[in-house]
Amino acid sequence: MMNWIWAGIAIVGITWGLITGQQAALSQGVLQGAIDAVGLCVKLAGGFALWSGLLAILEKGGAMESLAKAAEPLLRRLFPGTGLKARQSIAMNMTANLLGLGNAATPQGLEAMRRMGAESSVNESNGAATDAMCVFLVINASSIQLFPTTVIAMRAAAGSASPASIVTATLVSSGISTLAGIAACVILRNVFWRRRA
Amino acid sequence: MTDLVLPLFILGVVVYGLIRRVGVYDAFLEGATQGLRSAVNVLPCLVGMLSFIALLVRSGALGAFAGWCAPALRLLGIPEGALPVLMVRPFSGSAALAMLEETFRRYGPDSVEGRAASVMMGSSETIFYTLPLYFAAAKVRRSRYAIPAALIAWLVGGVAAAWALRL
Repeated sequence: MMNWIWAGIAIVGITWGLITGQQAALSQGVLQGAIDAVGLCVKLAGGFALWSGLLAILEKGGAMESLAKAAEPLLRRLFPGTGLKARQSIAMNMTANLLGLGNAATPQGLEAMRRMGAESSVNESNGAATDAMCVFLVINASSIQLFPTTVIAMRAAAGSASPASIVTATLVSSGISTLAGIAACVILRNVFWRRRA
Repeated sequence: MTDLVLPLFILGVVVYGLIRRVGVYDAFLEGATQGLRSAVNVLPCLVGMLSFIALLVRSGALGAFAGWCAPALRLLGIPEGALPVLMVRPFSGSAALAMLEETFRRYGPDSVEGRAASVMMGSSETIFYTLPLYFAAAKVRRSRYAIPAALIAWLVGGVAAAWALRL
């Protein structure tokens, strides 16, 4: 699937750009995108290291186990077939997302995916995502956030009379979109992507 | 508010570690090593996606696509001025921020368009960055229904954003 999407993006973008005569913007843009990616990675690396380090202290102290234990009944229903280790990472990722600590959420999310991958037989099933992985990704992609910090900062910079006035609406709409995503997972799974067991 | 969350969180973590008799600095270094490793691991995927998405943005294809979708989205109650942010959001966070800035400049941050665009920006993630990134971590090659489900969540979120502001 990713192979097709990636190739499709290139084909559509390049064809469209050539038809509209944007070849200069294309050659400039593609290289700039690659440079931006490295810059972004360097920017992410500092935050990743800091947050992973801090969370490692919590993990060593046993806080993550208690957190995961508290969220266990919910997580077990949402992510069937995952192990305790994976669910601990999931719990940390979701907590960090809620607090708006995106830099802390991503390394934990990656760790959760790695653990889910190690637990399931991804390689035997020809690299197919498990149901738990799909639900986890959809929840991450529709991000429930208590504090949309970047947007509030941008509104303040643009001279808004009440920069934080969008917080409630953001919470409501991201909550609705997360629920819709979970529902979509359940429906799509049962209708189109039945697993040949 | 957020300026308080971060320092307090760090303070809490350090004090908690000391109370639980964790070797705080050693544990930090161990975790930081892992964090750096995951940053390096995702770099190839970032380069692949960001460079190709730049093709989509720079060629104008994304803008044209947004134009085609406009009539349908207007029926759903999404103001036209907020469309660029909504359309670009799944592909690129930084491009969506640029669109949000543009929306503020044209309509003002407290206009219907500006507010709707703000909520859309804050209530969704960059799907075509998050998914490949996470799937790469688990060495998954077939994503099954993850992308359609995420797109459904994104669309419902966009409509909900326009409606939530009217409450």
